[in-house]
Amino acid sequence: MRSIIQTAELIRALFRIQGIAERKTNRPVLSHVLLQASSLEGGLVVRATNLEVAIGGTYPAEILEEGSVLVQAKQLYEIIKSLSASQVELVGKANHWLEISAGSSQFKLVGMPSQDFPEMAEDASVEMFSVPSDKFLGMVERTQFCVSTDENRASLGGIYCERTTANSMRMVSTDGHRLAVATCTFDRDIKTPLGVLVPRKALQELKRIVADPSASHDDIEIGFSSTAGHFKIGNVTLITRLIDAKFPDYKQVIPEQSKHEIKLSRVVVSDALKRVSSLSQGKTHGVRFVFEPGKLEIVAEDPEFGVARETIMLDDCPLELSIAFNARYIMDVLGLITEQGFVLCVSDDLSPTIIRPIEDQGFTAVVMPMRL
Amino acid sequence: MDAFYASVEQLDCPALRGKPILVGYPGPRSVVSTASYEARPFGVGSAMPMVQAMRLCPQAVVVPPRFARYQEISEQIMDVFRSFSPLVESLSLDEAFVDISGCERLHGSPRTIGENIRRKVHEVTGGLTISVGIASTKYVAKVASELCKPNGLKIVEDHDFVAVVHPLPVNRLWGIGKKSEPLLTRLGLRTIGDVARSDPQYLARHLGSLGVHIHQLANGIDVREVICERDAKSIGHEETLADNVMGAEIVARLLLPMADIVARRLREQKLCAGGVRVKLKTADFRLWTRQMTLREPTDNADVLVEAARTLLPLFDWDVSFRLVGMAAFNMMPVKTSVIQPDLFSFQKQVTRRRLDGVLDQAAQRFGEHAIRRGSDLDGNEM
Repeated sequence: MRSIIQTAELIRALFRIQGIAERKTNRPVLSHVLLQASSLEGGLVVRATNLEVAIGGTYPAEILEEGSVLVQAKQLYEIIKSLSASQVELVGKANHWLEISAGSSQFKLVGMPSQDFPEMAEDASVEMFSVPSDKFLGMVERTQFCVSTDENRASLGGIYCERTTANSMRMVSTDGHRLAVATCTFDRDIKTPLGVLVPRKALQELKRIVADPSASHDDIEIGFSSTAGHFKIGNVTLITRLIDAKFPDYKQVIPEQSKHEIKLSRVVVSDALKRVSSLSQGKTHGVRFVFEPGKLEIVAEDPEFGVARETIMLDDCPLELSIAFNARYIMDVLGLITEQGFVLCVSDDLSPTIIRPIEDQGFTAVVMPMRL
Repeated sequence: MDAFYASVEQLDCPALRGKPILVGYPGPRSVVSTASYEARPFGVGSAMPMVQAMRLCPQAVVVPPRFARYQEISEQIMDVFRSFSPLVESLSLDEAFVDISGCERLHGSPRTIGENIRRKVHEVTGGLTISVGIASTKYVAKVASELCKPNGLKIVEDHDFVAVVHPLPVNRLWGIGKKSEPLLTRLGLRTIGDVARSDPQYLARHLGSLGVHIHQLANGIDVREVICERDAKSIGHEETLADNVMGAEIVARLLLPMADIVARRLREQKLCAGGVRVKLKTADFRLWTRQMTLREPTDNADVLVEAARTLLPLFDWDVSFRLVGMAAFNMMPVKTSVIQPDLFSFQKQVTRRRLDGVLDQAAQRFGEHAIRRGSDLDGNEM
């Protein structure tokens, strides 16, 4: 293999796969990146996988001789990032070595046989549809924060995507204590199956790819088979396994009606929470919302350190109720609302509480109160 | 207590008084729970197979145990102990450590306290006798109480330790049983004094951590404090089975009534457990345990048993088991444990709590077995 590529282009390619090239693994090949010089593809193909998610992209490069190398991803990225020369020559040598030359610098890296790279086959029969990437990723942003990280609850380890009408999609995530629902209507029909569960990691990586400001991606192409999800953004493809578990019946935990709907200012509540939560109890971040006629008090109390209290005056709020929450959970949700105001829908101190923007119907969060 | 179960039987049934009695079932696998002092000269003792005991002492009356009654008396005794010191650690129904350090000004000298405990126990139970050992460590106190049985009181001062304890055989050491005793004999160690004088490293090489432990005990070093139950690290229940069992399915079924008992004890003490442990003893006496942390602390039997059952696949099921047990650990008081209920199961939890409350009330009024689970009943009981 022999290829010449712009340094900036190679840095971009390697950045995109850093998230899935494993650092600590008992299969060394999973910490490696495959570089393939291919005239057919029209450039340098850069691919990596962690067996759950695979990312591959084609980048403009001069192909002098076709071939491929498999080298340690992190090491290669660090080297290429440190280069000052504007272009790099990559040469595959005998016994899987990779020689890197750039200006006055030269490196030789130990590699592995490129046929050892575990392929995650692209399913050509998958029917793809496209949606604006900002809208799609906006939904990911609003749901990924409450995906469960508990390895024993596989069914909560991803974002559940489903089609609700011919042209609208819903994403739902939950960690068992809170739940987020984002919906979006597109200007065209979509082809999501009735429901798929996409691992959090895959959507995180998708965000990383799109976040790259140098690339302009108006649309994201999406397709699902029964076991895998395919995403295409510009010259990059991401394939992920779908989680083979049943997402819980989320609709049952979203209260259809709440006794009280209280409109609050996002900034005021969010700032108040930030101030009092320094005294919220230990790991649980428990704070108490005490509603009294005309006002809301947010109280945090730590038996070892003291008490913090914020008072927010409310017009015409006849409610008398004390309800406790994990302050983090509320702040996470408020951080995702862009409007000035939000609505808190409460029934009592034990039932799930809804938080949603006043105007935007596309986002709903449900938070389970704590018993303090 | 002296020959506790047997003494209770003699107390309740005057006809049995002065006669040799064996508490236990007359089955081929059962063992003697307690032999009365009248039976002991025949060479009969606790844990002896019933068949053998009946051969040694054919005139003995075999009385089936009545644990509810023993429990009742046990509670009376423990209450007596607690009236002297709040630090009471019960070892079994009839045995407890009482930390009386700092109680002199209130209750008098250790000897006075010991005598008063003996007198009060005799009074409240209507005639049972108890032996009291007093020493500065738990181990020596236990040895002292064994030395003065029945119906005695013995104080072992620190300076008497060598004279009193060192001549005793090694099987009087805590942790030395049927298996380790021959091992010590082979090493030429017959008395506790022999163990005390030997090199701890030599003991450790032959016995592992047990070696270090018994060397300390033999030298009167016992740092363990009296732990009262509300500070206990775990609450558990285990049963030695009438027949050895094989297979996870049977064990899974046995765990349910145990979870009920453990959960009830948690609730009695207003505690929640953060973890669950399952314990199995193989037919050849190897002890296996597996444990896990719960997603959220609980005092509910269903949650405990569900967690315990998820541990079962982690055991090796090729062998048969003679004992099954489970324990709850990582305990915290209910009222300080902040609980973040689960969105998908909170309604079930509310129902469970209400049900647990009703079951506890029923158990209190009508006894532990007043309400049982349908799944616990054998076909013929239904």
